[in-house]
Amino acid sequence: MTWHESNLGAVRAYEPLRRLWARQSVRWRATRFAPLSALALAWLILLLISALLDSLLSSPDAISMDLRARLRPPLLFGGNWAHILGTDDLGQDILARLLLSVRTSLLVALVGSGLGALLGTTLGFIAAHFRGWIEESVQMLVDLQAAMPFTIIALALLAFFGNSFGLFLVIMGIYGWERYARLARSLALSALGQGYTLAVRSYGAGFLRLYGRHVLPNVAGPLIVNMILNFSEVILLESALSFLGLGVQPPLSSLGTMVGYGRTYVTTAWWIAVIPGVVIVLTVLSLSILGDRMQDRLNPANRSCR
Amino acid sequence: MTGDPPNRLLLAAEQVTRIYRVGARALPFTSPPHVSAVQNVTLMLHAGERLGIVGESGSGKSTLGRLLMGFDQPTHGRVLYCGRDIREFSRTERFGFHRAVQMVFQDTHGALNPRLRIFDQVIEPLDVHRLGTRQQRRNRVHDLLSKVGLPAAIAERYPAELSGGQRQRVVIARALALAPKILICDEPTSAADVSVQAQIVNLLDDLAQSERLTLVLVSHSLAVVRHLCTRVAVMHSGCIVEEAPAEVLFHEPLHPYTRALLGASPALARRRRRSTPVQSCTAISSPSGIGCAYASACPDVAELCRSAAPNLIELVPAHHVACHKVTTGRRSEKRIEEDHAGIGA
Repeated sequence: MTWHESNLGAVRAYEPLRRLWARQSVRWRATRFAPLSALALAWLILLLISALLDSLLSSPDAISMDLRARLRPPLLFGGNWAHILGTDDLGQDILARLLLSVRTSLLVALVGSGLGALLGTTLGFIAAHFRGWIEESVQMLVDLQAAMPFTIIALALLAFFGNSFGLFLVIMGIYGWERYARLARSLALSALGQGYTLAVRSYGAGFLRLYGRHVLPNVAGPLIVNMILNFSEVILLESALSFLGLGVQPPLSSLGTMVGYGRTYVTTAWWIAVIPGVVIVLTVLSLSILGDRMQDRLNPANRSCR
Repeated sequence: MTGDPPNRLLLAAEQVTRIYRVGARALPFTSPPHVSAVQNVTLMLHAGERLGIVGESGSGKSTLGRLLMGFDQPTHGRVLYCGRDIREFSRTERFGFHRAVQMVFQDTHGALNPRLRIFDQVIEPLDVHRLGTRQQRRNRVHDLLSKVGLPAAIAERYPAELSGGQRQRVVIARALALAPKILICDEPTSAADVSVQAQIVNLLDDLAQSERLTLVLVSHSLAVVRHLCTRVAVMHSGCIVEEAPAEVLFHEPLHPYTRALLGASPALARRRRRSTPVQSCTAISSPSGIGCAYASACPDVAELCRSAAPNLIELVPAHHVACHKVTTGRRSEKRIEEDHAGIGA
């Protein structure tokens, strides 16, 4: 037996293994889920579940004041099991308030980014469809919006019209519309150059059918990514405005309100401000990680097989 | 749909010009640079006819197709369908126009929506026009697919799962869904390989007969046009330079550009012709904008060609040509003939 043959035997014995490995690695690559995005997803799911099950997890009296148990530190910092995350200056359980606040913040962010996506995408499609002066004016609005810091606009609106939860939601909804509009316009323009949209127009389909059924499903990827990234920005904006006292008003509470409220105690009872702050950071970070990952996955250049 | 008598004028372009702006203006209040993709084109399409529009890339043939479909509005002139300007159509008239005139797109330009099953794409025109019941539409889709030679199972697939030839057939099936009178085919075969090209050409040939279609074929392939068309218009720099019945045009081309084009097309088992390379002239209007657009590349250019644009003139019945050389030559021949006749009398 020559060296070659003996080697061949080894290769033959190895072959099924190699194939298995190849197949496994392909499968692994196809379904690979980076641990970081798994963690991010787990965190968001946890947040969502706790926001949804809020009413089950904590009874209304959980946020009742207990003046005998004021400023209790969290469990690992000298606290006890009665108040895992400690209490605030009125003796309210931080965990219970956190759950309520998460619900408000998520609701605001969800409605806000949903409204923004709807408004921006519609305007972008309209601009791409009608061209001419309509497009020009949409573009002008977009540029105007992009040139002004949104926090200032929001502050001005809230200060002028007075604070109401409805107005606050609308402001959150307007936030970021110009990016959707820009994106949707350019995506629609490229889709309108494709044969299928011409064909759809050639048999006289209307605006809704053309854009709802043909254009939108084909350009949804980048819009979804933008929505995820916008979602985290809305949470941040909401927190910022609430921190300044112009956002969500008591008795409602949001993550931003909690941070703002805890600010005065930050030297003596740091957990009141830090815990909701950590939740904000983790949530925004998770959303950004997932958004980036979606962007990579939806990019046709990175897509090996579909 | 079968009620039309043959030779009825269906679609006409009347002195149509389409000017596109290219880029921004150099200075305020100056006119921005522009291109006339189609220039003063008059074209008639009669029922039962198969018209081929040929020309090199950038000659404006596709733009002309789009103008005929109403996708694009002419800058000057008008497009008439059954004697009515298509821009002045009411909503219902426009719907009727959409039913009567359909377009076959080139598959490579994404003619099918990648996110929808074939069935949903072929049935959509019927849905939009609310033709028949749900069941009738369903049956119609299967009829159409079998008409273009596709198995019914393909209806459940997505475009990415089909071959290029199959996709082109689906595009044709979708265009036929509304039983149009006129089918405008924009380069239906240019992306396919030769065997698929032949299949598609034969399919269009059969369908045009069985469905009594009036065909407009926009193509740069002279072979395809020769095989399918009864009449051919040759475009150059946005103008029609010659228009004649297919047989006549391929045997007795008059315009020097047509001759160059025919000489440049490869052919087997034909005597090698004297072939002058076709000088490409894109549609950018000459600085002066006067004179014949082909003058700079024409082998027999004369002084007149550079100073005045030739008009499309019907030299022989049904044979139009836009060339000073040819028309003056013919005129002088005619004059000589007349002189002879005069002498004889």
